[in-house]
Formats: sequence, C-alpha cells, structure tokens
Amino acid sequence: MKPESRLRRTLLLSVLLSATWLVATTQAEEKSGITVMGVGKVDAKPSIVELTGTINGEAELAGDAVTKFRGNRQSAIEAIEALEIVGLTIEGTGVSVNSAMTQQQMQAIMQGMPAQGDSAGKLAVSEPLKLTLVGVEDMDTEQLLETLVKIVDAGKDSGIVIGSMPTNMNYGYRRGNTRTPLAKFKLTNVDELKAQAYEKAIADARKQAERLAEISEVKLGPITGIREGNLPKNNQQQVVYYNPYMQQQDDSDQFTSTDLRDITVSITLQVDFSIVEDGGE
Amino acid sequence: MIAATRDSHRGRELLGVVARMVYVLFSFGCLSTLAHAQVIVAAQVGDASDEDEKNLGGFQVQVDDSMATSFKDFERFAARKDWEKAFRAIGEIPSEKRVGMLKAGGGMIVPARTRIWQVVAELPAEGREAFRVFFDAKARELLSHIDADDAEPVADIKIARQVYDEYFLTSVGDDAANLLGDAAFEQGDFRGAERYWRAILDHHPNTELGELRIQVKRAMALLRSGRGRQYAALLKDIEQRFPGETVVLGGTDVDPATFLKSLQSDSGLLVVEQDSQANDVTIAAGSLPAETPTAWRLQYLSDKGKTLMDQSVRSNYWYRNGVETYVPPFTSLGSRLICNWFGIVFAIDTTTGKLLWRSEKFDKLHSQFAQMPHSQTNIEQFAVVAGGDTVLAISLNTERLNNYREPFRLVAYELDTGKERWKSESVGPLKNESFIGQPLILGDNLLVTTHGRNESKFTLRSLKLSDGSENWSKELGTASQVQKSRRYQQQNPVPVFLQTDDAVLVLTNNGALIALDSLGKEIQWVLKFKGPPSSSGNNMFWYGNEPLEDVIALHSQGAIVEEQGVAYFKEACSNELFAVDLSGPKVLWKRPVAVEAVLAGADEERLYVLTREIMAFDQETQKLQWSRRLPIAGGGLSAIVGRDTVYIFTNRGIYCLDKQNGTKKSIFRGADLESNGGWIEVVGDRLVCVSNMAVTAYRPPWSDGISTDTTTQPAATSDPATSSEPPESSDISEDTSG
Repeated sequence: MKPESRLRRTLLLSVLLSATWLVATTQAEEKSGITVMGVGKVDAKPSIVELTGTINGEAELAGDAVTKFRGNRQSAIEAIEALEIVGLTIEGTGVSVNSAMTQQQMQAIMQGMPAQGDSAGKLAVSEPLKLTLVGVEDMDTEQLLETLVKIVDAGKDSGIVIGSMPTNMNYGYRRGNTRTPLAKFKLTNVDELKAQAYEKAIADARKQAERLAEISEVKLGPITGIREGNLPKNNQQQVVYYNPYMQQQDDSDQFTSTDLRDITVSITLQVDFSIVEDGGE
Repeated sequence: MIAATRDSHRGRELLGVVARMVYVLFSFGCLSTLAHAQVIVAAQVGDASDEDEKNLGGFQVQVDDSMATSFKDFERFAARKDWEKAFRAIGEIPSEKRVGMLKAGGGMIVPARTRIWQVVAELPAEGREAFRVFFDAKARELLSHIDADDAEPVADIKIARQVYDEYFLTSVGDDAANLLGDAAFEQGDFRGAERYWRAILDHHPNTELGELRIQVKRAMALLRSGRGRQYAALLKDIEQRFPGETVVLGGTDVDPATFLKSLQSDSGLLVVEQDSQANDVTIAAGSLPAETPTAWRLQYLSDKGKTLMDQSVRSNYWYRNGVETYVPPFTSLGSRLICNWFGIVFAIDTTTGKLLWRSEKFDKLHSQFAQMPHSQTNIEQFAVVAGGDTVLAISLNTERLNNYREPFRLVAYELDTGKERWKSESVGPLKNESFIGQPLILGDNLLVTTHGRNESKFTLRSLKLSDGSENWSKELGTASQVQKSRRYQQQNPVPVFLQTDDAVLVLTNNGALIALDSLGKEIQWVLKFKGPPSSSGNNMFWYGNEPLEDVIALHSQGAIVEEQGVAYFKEACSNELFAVDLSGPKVLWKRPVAVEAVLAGADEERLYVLTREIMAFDQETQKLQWSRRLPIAGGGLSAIVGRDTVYIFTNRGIYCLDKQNGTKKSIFRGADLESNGGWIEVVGDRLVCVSNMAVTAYRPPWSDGISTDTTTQPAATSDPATSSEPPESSDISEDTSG
C-alpha cells in the first residue's frame, strides 16, 4: 500500500468517527431536555372603533360626477363633525376615478359575456373614508352603542355608504351574503399586552415542565431554547379558501373584532428545559 | 271694415303690375348672382337629417309621403330662387289637400297646412315679393267675393280661409287673417283669434289695419282665453308704445289701455290663476322641526298585507317587477286626497284624515299579492285624477289584476260619495280599449289615450266627463314597446299630459313630444328625439339576490313641466333631460342624466331631478349646481319646491334642503320610517306623504298662517299610533292599522 493512500484512508476514518461522535452527542443532548408548549393569554377591552364608508359621485358627465362627489363629501364630513363626538376622527384614504358600469353591464360580465350598452358609461369619483373613534375602553357598552348609532345614522343620513363592500359582487350575490360589518373594534396597546402574554406563556411552560420533571424524577435545568408558535405537525396540508371579503391583513388586524367584546392577545411558546444529572454540574 | 279694405285693392292691383315688371327685369339682371346663391341655400334646405330621424326609434307619427315629395319640389325650386316653378309646385297642394303631417327638419313634424304656410310666410324678401307678383291678383279676386252683408258667413269664412292658407303673403292676406280672427272670436275660439291677429303683426308689419287696433284685439283674445301673463305683458307694451293714441272700437274712440282694463275688471276672474292658491307649494318654507305634529295617518297596507307581500316577493325573487317598492298614484282636489292602489280607489279628507269612501276593502288585494311580482300587468298604468265633482281612475278590476294583459279601464266616481258614475267597459267604442296615461280634464270633457289589447297604436280620445261618451278620437301614433321588468314581454310607454296656456302637451315617454291645440284636438307639432333603447340587446340573466335595477325599484316615470314658455322634460327610460322653447318650438338644450332619473320639480331658476340623489340644474345653463345623496328606496320620486326649501320624503324621513346649495336644514323623521318613502305634496294646510304603506299628513309650521275653512277640525293628536280618525265603518278599522 502506498503511503498516500494510507494517509487518505486514515483521514476518511477520522472524519467518519468524528461525525458519529457528533450525532451521538446531539442525540444524547436532545434526550436530556424537556420541551413544552406554554400559552399566555391576556384579555383586553378594545380601545378604538373603526368604521369605513365610501363617498361616491357618479354621473354621465365627468363634471357632474365631480360636483356630486364634492357635494356628498362636504355634506358627509359636515354631518359627522356636527356630532361633536370627542375622539372621533375622519380620514380620507385616497380619491379614485373609475368608469362605472351599469347594472346590465355588470350582469353581462357575471355571465361571462361582453358588457353591452353605451360604451361611454358613467364616471365614478369615490373615496373611502375611515372614521376612527378612540377611547372606547373608557365607555360602557350602552354609551358606546349610542355613539356608534349616532355615527352610523349621521353617515347614512348624509349619503355615506357605511361598511366595506366586497370587491366581488358576484361572490356576495351567489352566497346570499348581503350583510357587511359596519364597525371594527381594535386594540391599540398591543405591545404591552403581548409582553404580559409572554410572561404568562413562560410561566405556563415552566409549570408544565416542572410537573413533567417531577413525574420523571429528574431535576429540571435552565431554559435552553424558546421558539414562538406551535410545534410543527407532520402531514398537515394547508388549504386556503378564496374569500373576497378577507382583505389583506396587517399586524393590527390580528387584534380586531367585528363584535363588541374583549379581544384576546394570545402567545404560544415552545420552551426547552435542560435536565440536570444527579450530582452533576 | 271689409268694404274699406276692398277699396284699397284697386290701388294695390296697379302696384302689383308695376312690381311684376320690375321683378322680371331684376331677375334677368341678377342671373349670375343667383347661380352662386343657389348652392348655399340648397345646402341649407337639403334634408340631410332624414336618415338620422329614421334611426331615432320610439314613437312614430305618420307622415304624408306623397305630399312631402311635392313639398320638397317647392323647397328645391325655392332654394334655387326659381320662383315660378316653386309656386307651381306649391299650387299642386291646394288648401283642402293639406291635411297630413310633414317633417320640418331637426326632428320636427308639423301639420302640412302649418308647414307649408310657415315656409311661404318665411320666404326671403325676394321670394315674398315674387309671391305677391304671382298671386296678388288671384287673392284679391277671391277675397272680392266676400260681401260684408253676405247672408252666408260660412262661405265667406271658407274663402278667407283659402286666402289665408294659400295666399297669406299677398296684399290681402292680412285682411283674410283679420276676418278669420273676428270670426273665431265671435265663435268663442279666443286662442285661434289671437293666433290669426298675431300672424298679421308677424308677417304684415305695415298692415293698413293698424297695429294698435290689432294689438288691442289680441289683448282682448288673451284676456278672454284666460292667459293672464301674456295679457299683462301686452297691456304693458301697448301702454308704453302707444301713449295717448286712441282706437275706434264699436264706433267709439277709446283709450286702449283704459278700455282693456275696464274689460278686465268687468270680466272678474278672467285672468285665470288655475286654482293655484289651493295647493300653493310656495307657502312651504323653512325646515320641519322635530316636534312637527302628525295630523293623521291612514295605513292602507295592513301589517298582515305587508307580510303577505314580503313573502310573495321572496318567493318570486326570480321575477320581480318592483311591486314591493310601488307607491300608488294620488291626486288632490280641495281638501280631498284620492289614491288608486292597484285598482282600489279611496278618498281622504285631508283636514280630518277621515276615510271618505273607497271602491273596495283594502284587504281584497291580499289574495292577489302572491301572483303580483310576476304578473304581466304594467303597474305604472294605474292613474287617478279629479276635476269638478268627478274622480277618474285608470284601473283594473282587482279580481283580474294578474290576468294576462288585461285592458286597463277608465272609471268615473262621484267625488263626494265615491259612487261609480260610469266605466269604459260600458261605453260602446271604449269597451275593448286599454287606457294609458293620466287623463287630462278640460272643462266638461276629458282627454285620454287608449290602445287596443296587445297593440301599441295610440288613439287620442275626447270623452264627456258626465257619461264617458266620445266627442271625437284620432290616431296619435305608434309606440315602440319597452321591456323594463325581468323576464316579461314588452309594455307600452305611459304618456303624460301637460296643459299650458295655449296648448296641450303630450310627452309620449317614447321619444316624442306632441303639442296639441288648446282643446287637444289638432296636432300643432311633434318633436321627435331618441326613443327608448331596443330591448333585444338586454341581458336576460339575473341572480336571485341581485338588487333590483334602479329604473324598476324607483318606478321612474317621465315628467314635463313648463316655466316661462319653456317645457322641461325627461322621459322614462331615456337618459336625456330636455329644454324646449315652446314658442319656436326649438330645443334649447339637452343633457345626459341617469335613465332612472325623474324630473321632480322646477322653480324660476332650477330644475330638480331625483334618483337616489337630488340634483339641481340651472335652467339657463343646464349646469349641475348641486346634488345631494338621499336614502331613497322606492317609487314616488317627488319633491316639494318651496319658497326656500326643497322637501323630499325618504325612508329615513323628510329631508329639508336649502334650495340654493342643497345644504341639509333638517331631517324630520315623521311617522313613516317603516316605509320606503314616496310622494310628498302640500294639500291645503297639510303636508301629505303617500308611501307604499300609508298616507300621512303633518301640520307643518307654515300652516299656522293659513286660514282654513269653517269645516276645519283640529287634528286629534300628534301621536301617529293613535291619531287616525276613527273609521266610518268597522271594516275599515280592520284594514287601517295606523
């Protein structure tokens, strides 16, 4: 045997031995810890209410559409401001100009047919408005309802289309869904509540781990790892259903409800504890 | 007067011969100039819009094509200034043949007699002169047969009529017109008399009859025909232009202004105000405070009926003709309000809220509700109007409400008692006719349109109010049927009448406005414009929960109003709002609006148009001044245009908007928040709202200043739940839950 080939064989053997030791060490470490799921929940009253509405100006002539839009916007804002509700703000979220379809044209499109009729159509100038009421947590239910009713009434009286309309009308019609939520209740102090929830999740995890250690007659060591979220499950297929009502969600949408009730901030942590060997350390 | 006129004819004859010679010489001298002029004038006269007019669709009025050919010859030769040929062509259409209709360009269709007369009367100076040269002698010869002492005035009138129709531009045309004016005045046709005298002033400005004299006669005719505004304007003009001048009337020298004023005071109320005080909406002013009391409320659609109707609509969602948002038509006369709810006609005393009478029990309709959403009945055809001591309703027998194309009948009721006076089914020639469009009451007669079952040819009929017997009838034209509701066959448009100072206008709601004379008998002109779209291209698929189309849900109807001699109108199923100068007639402007829009009112400056919003358009500039979105959910689109406020009855209450800018003054919620809203009107001292469920009257703040008659009783209470007057009979209480 040549000295080069002997050296190569020795090196290969060393690598294999090292790898085997590493695997054995890792397996020994995994087996020496306890991993548990800790859940922390904090319930809180929503602090703001958001209502969305749409101001619309639609006409055959562009000039008319703009006049209508201006008139409707002015009357809507005046009506809301006239309520003099403390903490209520109105925010326009951008004007859009569209070619409005007639109902017959919409029907034709639903049928997969070309839209017939006057190609000139109508022009629509519209702007979504966001009405935000803060300080909800300090109101009792009756007071809040009364305030909301006032806003909705004033909006309807002044011609605002309150509530967000689904972008796909066909979807709504086919499912008989003619109800749209008017108000969304939201939390604002999410970070603070999350911090509380984390503390609760860790406490919950420690409690579970201690119990497991006691049953197993081992001594629980310090936390060696934390991961947020549930444990991954095998063979789980994720099916996403198309829902046109579901709009793109941001972080704050996770802590939103369409019902007036406490909103839960929930944190799930996967926590690893080590096991301390008897007489060890 | 006629003898004196004939003396002057001899001098005119000599003048005519000289003029003829001058004309011949002048014609030869100007040949080169004429050749150039021909091209320009021919281009103006050429009827290039014929093809366009054919494509307008909608209502068709029959035109006399053979006469049109002869008339076109005249126009062609006149354009070339070939007067001899032109007048020969016109000579082929003698007076007695000028009976059909001719197109006049720009969508106008006029009677041949009017069209030919008008074109000749408006010839250029050269043509007028040529006309006199050619026809003066003949006209004078014709008129010479008239003898002032003739025992047969009818024959004289006939001659004068021929001279007027065929030779008006000659030197004796003014004499003929004056004679016809006198005859018309004596026969009581004051509007006709005024027209003849006006023609003299328009086309014979240097008449030897004397302008002042003719103007005074015109003023008398205006006074007699009750056209107060025109009379006042003319009187002012006479005072300003002829100060200190006198005129001989009945052998006496009189001051014209003094004479006319004495006539006016002698005639009492000849300057007719059209009973405008009774329901004067200009008294409505200011906002309605929340505490405005409800005077009374009558619920004709009971809660049980409403439940049945809702169930029926849900079960028939596939069809839907908008029956659930339908608001019944109503009319008012004095202190009475009369409704026609699917054939059940009922009258209410607006002062007390008492149900005076009704043709049937309200709950009789309950059994019909199940079929109504998919019935073939055109629910827009129900109508009611009142005049004198009669109520006229266009109705169906409630038993046959859902029958296939059941003809609508005209029924006359006694205003006071509701007793049926006559119905069209019992009148021979009307037996099979279907009545369409709210009738127009003209004195002791009524004007109404009818069509045969499954037909769209419209007949205009004049009937006696007393017994329904026919005075006369004539074909109006043929409508193009329209499909509005889902999955149904096409339906005839519902015409609308409007009486103006000197005409009756018929808005066909089918692409035509027709002007009739003051008696409604003779067509004066027809204005054609774009008719409703053909239904063939409409989509025929709907989803179950799809919202009802606005044009169905809002029961959009055509409407026409007149302000200062201009007619403003918007037809149902049309997307154009028109302004037409009636004196021309001439289209002043037209502008696009939504198909479902309804012209709801007008004041001196603006037009108010309703859809699910109210829009105010400037009458002069047609510009949208302001608009405001409203919670409008159903039919009965209407508005009260008050002194400073516009009032609209919606399903969220009565909106009081500032007329100037549409700013909300207040929303008076009222007692009808469960309804869809609907009609609103000032009736006497009450503000009356007619919804799809009930009739409600309020005592508005302005009513405090109105003196009510001695029979007025205070409203029982302001609480809507208890304010309805006790019904006269027990069965009424079952139906009226309010």
